[in-house]
Amino acid sequence: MAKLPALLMEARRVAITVAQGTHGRRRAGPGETFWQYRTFEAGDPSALIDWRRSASSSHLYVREREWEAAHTVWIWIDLSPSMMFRSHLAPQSKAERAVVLALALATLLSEAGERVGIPGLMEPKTRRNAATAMVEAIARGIGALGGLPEGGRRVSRHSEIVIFSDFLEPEASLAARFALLARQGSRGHLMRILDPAEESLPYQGRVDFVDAESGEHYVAERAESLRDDYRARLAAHKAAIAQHAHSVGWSPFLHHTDRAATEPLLALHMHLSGLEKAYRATGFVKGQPQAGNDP
Amino acid sequence: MIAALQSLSFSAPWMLAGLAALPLIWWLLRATPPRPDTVSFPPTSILIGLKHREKTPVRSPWWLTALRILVAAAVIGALAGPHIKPPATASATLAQPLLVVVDNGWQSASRWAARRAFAEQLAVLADESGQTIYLAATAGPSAPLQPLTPVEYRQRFASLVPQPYPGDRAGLAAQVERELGARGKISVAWLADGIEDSGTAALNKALATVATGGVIDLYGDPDGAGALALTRAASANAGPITAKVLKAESSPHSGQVAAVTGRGERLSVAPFDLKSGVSSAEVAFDLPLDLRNQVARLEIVGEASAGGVFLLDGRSQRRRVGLVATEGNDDAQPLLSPTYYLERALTPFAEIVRPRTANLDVATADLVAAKPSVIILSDVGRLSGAVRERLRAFVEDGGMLIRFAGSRLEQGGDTLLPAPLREGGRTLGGAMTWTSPQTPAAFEEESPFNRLAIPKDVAVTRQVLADPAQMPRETKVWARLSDGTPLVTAARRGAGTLVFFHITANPDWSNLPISGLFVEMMRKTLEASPLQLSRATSAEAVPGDMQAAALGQDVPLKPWRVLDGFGKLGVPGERAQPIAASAADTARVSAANPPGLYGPQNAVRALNTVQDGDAFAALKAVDGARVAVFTEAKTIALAPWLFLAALCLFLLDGIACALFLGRSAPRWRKPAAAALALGLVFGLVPESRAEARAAAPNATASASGLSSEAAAFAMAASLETRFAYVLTGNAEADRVSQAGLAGLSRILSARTAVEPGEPIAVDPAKDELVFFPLIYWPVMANAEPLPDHVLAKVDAYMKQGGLIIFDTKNEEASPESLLARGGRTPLAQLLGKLDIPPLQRVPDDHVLTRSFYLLQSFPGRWDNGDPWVEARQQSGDAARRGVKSDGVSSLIVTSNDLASAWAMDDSDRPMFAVVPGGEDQREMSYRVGVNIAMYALTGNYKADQVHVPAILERLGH
Repeated sequence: MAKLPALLMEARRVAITVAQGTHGRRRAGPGETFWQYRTFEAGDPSALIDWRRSASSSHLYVREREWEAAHTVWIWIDLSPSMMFRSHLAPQSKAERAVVLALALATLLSEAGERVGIPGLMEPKTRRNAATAMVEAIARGIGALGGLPEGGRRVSRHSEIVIFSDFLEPEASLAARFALLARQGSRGHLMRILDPAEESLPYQGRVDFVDAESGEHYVAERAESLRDDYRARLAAHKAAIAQHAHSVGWSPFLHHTDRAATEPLLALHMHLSGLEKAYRATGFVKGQPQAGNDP
Repeated sequence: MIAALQSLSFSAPWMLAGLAALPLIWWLLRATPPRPDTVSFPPTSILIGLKHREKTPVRSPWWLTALRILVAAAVIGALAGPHIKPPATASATLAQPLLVVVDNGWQSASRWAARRAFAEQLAVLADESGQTIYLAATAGPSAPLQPLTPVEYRQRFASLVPQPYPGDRAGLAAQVERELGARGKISVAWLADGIEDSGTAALNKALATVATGGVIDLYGDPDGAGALALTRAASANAGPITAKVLKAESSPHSGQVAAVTGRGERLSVAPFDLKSGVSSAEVAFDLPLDLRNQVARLEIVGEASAGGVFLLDGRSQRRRVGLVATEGNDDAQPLLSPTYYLERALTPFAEIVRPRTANLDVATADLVAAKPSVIILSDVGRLSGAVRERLRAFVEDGGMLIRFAGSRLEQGGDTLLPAPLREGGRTLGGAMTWTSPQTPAAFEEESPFNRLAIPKDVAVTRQVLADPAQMPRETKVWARLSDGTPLVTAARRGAGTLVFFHITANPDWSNLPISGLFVEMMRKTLEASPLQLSRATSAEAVPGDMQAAALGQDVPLKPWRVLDGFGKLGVPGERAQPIAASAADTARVSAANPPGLYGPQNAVRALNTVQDGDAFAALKAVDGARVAVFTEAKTIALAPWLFLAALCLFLLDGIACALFLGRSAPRWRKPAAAALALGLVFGLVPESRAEARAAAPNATASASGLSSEAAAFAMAASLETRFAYVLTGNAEADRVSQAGLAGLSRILSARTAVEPGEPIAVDPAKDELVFFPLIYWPVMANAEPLPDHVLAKVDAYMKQGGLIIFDTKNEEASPESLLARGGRTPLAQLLGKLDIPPLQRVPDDHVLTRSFYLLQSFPGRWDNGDPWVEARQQSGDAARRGVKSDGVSSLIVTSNDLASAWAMDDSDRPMFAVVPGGEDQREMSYRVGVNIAMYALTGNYKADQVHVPAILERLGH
């Protein structure tokens, strides 16, 4: 991970791009101080109407307060050998993209005043240079960043956990891990990073496929003939993971390394923010925001 | 099929052992799957367990393997060199002995291989049938006809060669009748050469007699393969070497005749095309003399027979003849000039060298240096001093000196004559004499003119007489008048010959020079001269035998080299006999006189196989003949076809691999491989053409050889008519030149149709000058001399029609003083180095005075006098120059500082005052400029106006 400084720079650039598109966390939410009046919208609970303000005009107004609750967001980056894969179709390896996204998210969140941490490596604190601290933490504990985070006391209850990984472990172990984390009360966001080659299997002829992580081999006589079957299997794998995520109320995302890094970051950021809006409005959110495009 | 297999043979059969390796190749091809590409792929676990929908075999498909084995087999088979030989044609069995008659005259030589092969077929046939063979040949030493076993027959036939003379069919017929006539019961095979001769009928009859049932199997050449022959052309001796190609058969035939030196080098070839029904064609070789005389033989390319060779000897070679006449070239009345008749008589067989001058001393020196064989003096009087010594040395070195009489020689001869002359000529006929004009007497035996026919109307009216009392013994009389007085005398002198005609070479004294006899006499005379004079070999250059023959002695000519039947020159065999010199022209080739070169080595006479009058016609129908054609047992080599098949299969394999089995090859490679394969199949590789096209523009750009700077200058100078001025290195002078030419350009635009562009500064050392019609060249007093290559450039510009104004801008000095040659002024030094014609002051009627305005003077800023221009000349050199430059002087030399007078500032005001004349002079200077520009641009068409006064005067009358 000698490229960490470069990735940090890229993460800042990505974060700035996204921050200019949204407006951070300076927005309505649970808090003490007055934030703004806004006109009543259909569906707002009538209890929210500020009648004193509404009485001075012919419109109904709702009084909003600024969101002041600082959340703890745990970020986990999977740096296992499978993440080091980069095909000829992608500009970056999956691990590099994961680091960029993680750092950019950390930047965005710390700008907004949230606490950002890495389970087991970095305590969640409110700090302005969260990305830099995170880089240092990654560099220190790079060996620990494999697979999925260990469930345990490190991840506090009622916190958010964002996992950047390719989730290529066997479904059963994934499901167990999700369940363990969910039982601790944290809400997970699964950013699945795949190489486009892993999606489309762009190989031809006689190919010996090697999985560096498990050492498994598979010799394909005509790789191109496997494409349809492989896609079907991959889709099934995706669906299974999404199923496991939903079963614990987590939200899965998908990102391909040949796409721009800003896309998943924006989706993720909107999703993290939108949770609050939904919380304010409905208390819980359903649905699966998806970033990236399937080819 | 079995026969075809039997006739299959291999030139390298051991290569077939390679076929044993085919199973190995099969096993390798089957057993080796292509090596997989290894790819690191994290979701391999997803792949594991996937079944292949298309079950791709690990091994290559069977058809691909078969294809490759086929390629290998084809290559191995091709390397083994298989041939197919068709079975022999003479397939019938023989029931009785066979008489094989072979035409082995020269006519069959070029097709001898076919005859030998066919004779072998006959031997095989006789072998199989257990019969004996009688072998009879038409040419060569005759042998008794005896039954031969096939083995003996093969030996006899192998020793049989085509002879260089025609076969004697009549003789053979007699022999057959004599020796086999009583035997009967015999089969006859006649291997004919396809040429008719006088003995054909007799042989036909004899063979029909001995053959069972009178049936003769006649084998001939296939159509279009008949014999050709080469003989003397009708127009021989007229300049180029000529020969006639003869063809006997009717089918068309085309080919080439080669001219070959004695050392076997081919100097030239001439094509001939004998159409159907045409029996002869002439070929001609027009070669420079030096090459022409090296040609020793002509031969039909590919026709290896004695008849396909035409030997040349000294008579067909040309001599170089120097021709001296002191009276100069009387071009006005050529028919009176002696040289006219000599040239006409000599041109067909000699190269004539004329001296450039009538000065006899210089002329003879020039001629001797040109190394002629013969020098002819016509009407040159008594020789003396250096001329005589030079000519005496020439003769004694082996040259031939031919002299003609004339009125000058009536005053007495000199030592370079065969006989002393009596003083005073002899006039025959006419008002004041008793005698009548004399005709030449018949030539004597020993005269080289022997056998020349004398026309009846040749008469001699005047001659010079040899002094009979003083005539030396060695003097030969080659021709006499009917009263016995010598007409042509000759004598050896050293290694050479003196020949004296006692008449003039023009019709003044005799009408001999206008008769055909004169041509023949000159020709015979020249034949006695050496071909080339070289001091080293002069002693034997004209050998005694030749001289003796030339001087009339009938010596036998021994064979020196003779042709064999195939047309190769070789040492004569013991049967070759000499030919009498007198019979050399009429001798026919025979066993005793084979074609070849006869006589002493340096003066050989050629005896050619086919001579004028020899019949050369196709064989007529033979009675009772079954006509067949030699079938050449042609072997068909299969190797090229097998290689081709292997290549095609290989390409097929490549295409198949690319299209059907695209393995781990990157995607782009497939179409590329297919395209490459197709490109190879159709014999073109498109990429190379594309490259060639892409390279073409660069090539043209670089081919023009101009640097971009030079190209820009050329464009600027030539897209518009522009005047140029030469940079002097003096900034002020250059500014004035620029302003002056710009002012002149403005004046021209305003007053004339000439609208020049801005003037351009040129540096003659660097810039190209050819673009400019007019260059203004201020010659400053301190100008540096120019290097030679720059001067050469300026000189070329002037000679190719450019006009340069040299202006010394000198207030005091007139051009005359500056031009004085040898002067120290820069102008004189500059012009002294240029190759320019004489100069003159502009004359009153010069075109410059009227090319636009009518001018009397040519002032500039100063008025020092008129400029100088090239003087008009009448000689040829100047006329040529005038044509090129349209009569325009290539330079104008002035000292009047024209540019300063023309110079204007931006507001069109003159920059310098003119001295002394004021504004009138300025106007005149403008007009001078306009006239010069018009002169440079339009040339001399205004010169016509020079004649206007004369025309007006004529009109007035």
